[in-house]
Amino acid sequence: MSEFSDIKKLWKSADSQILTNESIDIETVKQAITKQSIRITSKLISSFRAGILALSLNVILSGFNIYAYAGNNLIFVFSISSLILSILLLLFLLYRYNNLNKLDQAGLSLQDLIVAKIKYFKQSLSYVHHAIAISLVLLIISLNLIIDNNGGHYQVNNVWLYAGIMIIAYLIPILMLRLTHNLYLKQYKSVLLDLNESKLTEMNAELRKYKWLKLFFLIIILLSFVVGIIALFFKIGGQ
Amino acid sequence: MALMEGKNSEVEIKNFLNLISDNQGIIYKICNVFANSHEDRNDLKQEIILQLWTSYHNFQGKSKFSTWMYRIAFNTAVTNIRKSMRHPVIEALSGSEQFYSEKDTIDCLNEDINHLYKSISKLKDVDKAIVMLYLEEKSYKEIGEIIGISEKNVSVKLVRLKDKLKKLMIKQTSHVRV
Repeated sequence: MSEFSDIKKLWKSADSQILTNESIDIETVKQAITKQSIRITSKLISSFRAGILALSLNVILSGFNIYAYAGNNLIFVFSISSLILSILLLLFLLYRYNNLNKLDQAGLSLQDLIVAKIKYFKQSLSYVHHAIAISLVLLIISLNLIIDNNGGHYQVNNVWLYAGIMIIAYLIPILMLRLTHNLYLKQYKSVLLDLNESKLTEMNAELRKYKWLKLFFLIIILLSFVVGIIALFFKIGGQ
Repeated sequence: MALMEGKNSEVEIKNFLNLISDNQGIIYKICNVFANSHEDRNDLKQEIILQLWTSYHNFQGKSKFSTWMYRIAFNTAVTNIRKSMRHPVIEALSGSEQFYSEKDTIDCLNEDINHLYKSISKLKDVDKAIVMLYLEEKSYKEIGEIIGISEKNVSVKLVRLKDKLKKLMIKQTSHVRV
C-alpha cells in the first residue's frame, strides 16, 4: 500500500461490499422517528428533574434561613412555610416522576407507550409547570434572604417592585414551559400519527414550528440582555 | 421551494426515499468511518436518516443532493460522536489527535478495507471527512463546499493527509501481521 492510488482503488472496491441487501425504506425512517420520540420524552422529563433539583436546593436553603432568622418572626414563619411547601412539592414531583418511570417499565409496545405518555403528560404537565414556577420563586427568595441577611434582619426597600419581580419570576417560567411543552407534546402526538399512518410528515411540521419558537426565545433573551446592558449603562452614567 | 406540502406527502416521501436509496452508500461509509461498533453504526445510521428527513424541506436543489446529504451526514456524525462518546478516549497520541477505543471489524468487508476504515477513523473528524470526500473523487471545490473551507485549504490539507493516511495504513497492516 505504498501509493495513494492503491488506497483509492481499495476504497472503490468497498462500494460493492457495502451496498449489500440492506435498503432504506419507509420502515427505516420509521425506526429513526421512533428514536426522536424518545428524545422528546427526555426533554419533558428534564423539567421534572429541574424542578426536583430546585426544590431540593430550596429545602436546604430554607433550613438555613430558619436558623439564620430565628429572631425574626416574619421571616422565620415564611422560611418554615417555604420549607413545608418545598417538601410537599418535592414529594409531588417525585411521585409523578416515579409514575412516569413505571410506564417505561410496563413493557408496552411503542405505540401504546406513546399513547400512555401523551395521556400522562396531558394530566400532569399543568401541575408540574406551577410546581416548577413556585420552586423557582421560592429559590429566588431563599437566596435573597441568605445574601441580604443583615444580622437576622432583612429589609425590602420597595415592596411593590419586589412583589412585581416575584410575579414575573412566577409567570415567565410558566409561559415558557407551556409554550415549549405544548410543542413537545404536539411533536410527540405527531410521531404517533406518523407511526400509525405511515405519513412521516406530521413530525416534520411540528419540528419546524419548534425551530421558530427556539428562534423567538433566542431573540427575546438577546433583547433582554441588550436592554439590561443599556439600562446598566445609563444607571452608571447617571451616577 | 418547499418540498413538504401536506397534499403531496406520499409523493414526497417516495422522492425522499428514492434519493436516499440512490445515495445510501454515503450513509454507510460515514457510519463505517465515524462509528466504532456495530451498535454505534446502527445508531448513527438512524440519526443521519432522521436528520436528513427533518432537514429535507430545506433542500432547495441549489447544490447536488449528494453534496447536501454529505453535509448533513457529516454534521450529524461529528455531533453524534461528540455527544455520545460511549467509548471513552483511551489514549491521546500525536499532538491533539484523539484515539478512540479500537474500532471493531465490519463483517461484510474484507480485511484490507477494514484496515482502511480503521486508519481513516484515527484521523481528526474534519480530516476524516476530507479524506473520505477525496477518495469519493469529489473536486476540491465540492469538498470545500461540504466542509466549509476554501479550495486552497483543502489542497493544502490533502497533501498532509494523504501522507498521513499512507503511514497509518502501513502501521495498521504491520500491526496486524505482527
